[in-house]
Amino acid sequence: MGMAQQSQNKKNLNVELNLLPVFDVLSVCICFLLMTVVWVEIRAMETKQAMGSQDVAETAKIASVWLTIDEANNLTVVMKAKSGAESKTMVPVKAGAIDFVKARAALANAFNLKATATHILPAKNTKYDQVIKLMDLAKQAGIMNIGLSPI
Amino acid sequence: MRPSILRNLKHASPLKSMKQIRGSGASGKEKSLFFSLNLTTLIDAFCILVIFLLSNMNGRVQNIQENQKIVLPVAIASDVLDQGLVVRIEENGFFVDDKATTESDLAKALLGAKKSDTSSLIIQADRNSNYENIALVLRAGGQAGYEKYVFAVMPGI
Repeated sequence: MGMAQQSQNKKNLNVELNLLPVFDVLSVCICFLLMTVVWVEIRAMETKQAMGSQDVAETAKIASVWLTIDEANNLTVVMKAKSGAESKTMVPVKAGAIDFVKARAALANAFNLKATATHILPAKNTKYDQVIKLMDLAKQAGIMNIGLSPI
Repeated sequence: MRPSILRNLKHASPLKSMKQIRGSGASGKEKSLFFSLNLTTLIDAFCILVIFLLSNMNGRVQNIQENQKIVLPVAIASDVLDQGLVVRIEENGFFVDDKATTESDLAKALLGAKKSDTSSLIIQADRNSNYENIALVLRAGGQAGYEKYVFAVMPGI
């Protein structure tokens, strides 16, 4: 009789955690996160207005490269040194679009000549995609200061 | 009095029922009719899923919506998209902050939607748009006093 009472008074060492509330909270968390998750992240390509936004006297003289796209998608690369000296390179159109391989080489060359800024002057009918690609190539070449001119 | 059927089915805990199934208890041959679901592994999987989704989220909030009509251009050297006023260029016109506007009223709409803390304009346009339309937004943005222009692009590899 005494032995039975002793065994009944012994505390059970097995602790039971009620996992159902944890399960509920985690389910709500997963639902919320799945609804708010960004599957495709949209990125940004930053630029400034190259012309008309600043006075000529205020503009600091730096080595820059000017990229002019004509209506037939020929690209003219003009390298303007800090001293004022200019050198011009023509990149003819390739298969109806800008020759991006030559454009990349021209931009890399401009960066080697210490160009820190680029100004892009597209034509009316230039495709937006090509302008962005040119800006992308300039950034990849190391020229971070990109200006875009309005028509 | 007839004993209730529930009395036979009553269980103190899942651990006890497992003990009964194993047959290590006092009445070794006793088998439970209860199905004890082990939630621990399920919770482990859920925790991993929550951690993965939280690390993927990284506190970023996308401030522009993807549009079915617009295919954005692709750029490799792109930056993180910050806050700004969104201008969408579609075939049928311009949308400033999801409100349709005309070419002539674009500068006015940009000025009206300008907030004191935002000086950047986010341009969302189709990759095949002509630069003519982009230039219109740039010019109107200049008139409205925007200093920075941000083009929405898709990340390239």
